[in-house]
Amino acid sequence: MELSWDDLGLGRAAADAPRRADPHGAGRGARITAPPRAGGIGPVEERRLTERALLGDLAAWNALIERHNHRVVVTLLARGVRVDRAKDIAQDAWIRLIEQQRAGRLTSLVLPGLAIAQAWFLAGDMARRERGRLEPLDSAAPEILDPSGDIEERLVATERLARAERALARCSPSAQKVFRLAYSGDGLSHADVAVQAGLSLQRVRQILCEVRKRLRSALEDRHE
Amino acid sequence: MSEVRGAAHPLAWELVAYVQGELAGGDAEALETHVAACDACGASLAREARVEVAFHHVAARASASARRSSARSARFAAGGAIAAAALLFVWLARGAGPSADAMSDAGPLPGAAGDAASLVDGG
Repeated sequence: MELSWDDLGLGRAAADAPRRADPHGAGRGARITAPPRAGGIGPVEERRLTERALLGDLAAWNALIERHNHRVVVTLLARGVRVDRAKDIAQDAWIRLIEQQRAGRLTSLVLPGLAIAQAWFLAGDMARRERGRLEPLDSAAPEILDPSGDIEERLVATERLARAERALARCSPSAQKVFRLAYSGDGLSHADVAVQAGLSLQRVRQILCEVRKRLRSALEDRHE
Repeated sequence: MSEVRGAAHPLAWELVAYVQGELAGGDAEALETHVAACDACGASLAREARVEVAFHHVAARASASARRSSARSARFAAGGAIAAAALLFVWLARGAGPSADAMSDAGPLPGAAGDAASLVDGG
């Protein structure tokens, strides 16, 4: 039986909005808001959720989707997929993963890598179908769930990453710490990062803005 | 569909906030609606998304590197402690350290005997 997003009872908020959206957000000028909840969960909780998801616990799936969906969407955007389509594909990717789990074909769950791999495959399949060059592939093919192929890595050349790493190494230790916390994959909001780093939210945003500028320059090879 | 007439283009920082997942819900939806219909903003969002993806990799590599460095430091510290213990042992074994008599003459450390006794006696 084919699953749908609604059948699964998964919260639409998880897929419809960026992961730390604030429903009470104000208008222009106050658009970045502190998250209404604790954003990040630690590796222990992540492991626990993963184990429960592998046993078919939908609440655990929901929590994992809420945590990782935005990253899946952003990866699709990076590939040039339109935002509305990226969100649909991300939803489909999660549904496929849950179907795989229900069919007993999902023995491990490495996130967000596996969801990204699934979404990447679906996006490619969709593009091929639209071009009419190939017949649609079997979406349930288990080989596509192999997380060993790091798809995100293909987006950026190793050399550029190395340049960005060097640029990061030249930042202050506290800036490096803030950057690592923000991009650790633990799903920390900027407010969470501020708490963990012992800095104000405003300061964290300033630091991230500056680090982003420097790393972006390094990635784009404007200067080093 | 290259431009959306009458709709304000999102600012650069709003695109960044969106890919970072820091844009408020209603604003994120407004941005998505605009970007889905505006090729120029769609391209800008894709650029920011590529930077964001790259940043996740940079952070992962930096964290891995920090962990390796920390493990090396721990190994170095453990190695140093073992070496120091070995040197101390050799030093004591060669009789260079304080003699047993000297140790006994010095008496117990203040409070040590009483504390140890109380622990053994259980009160």
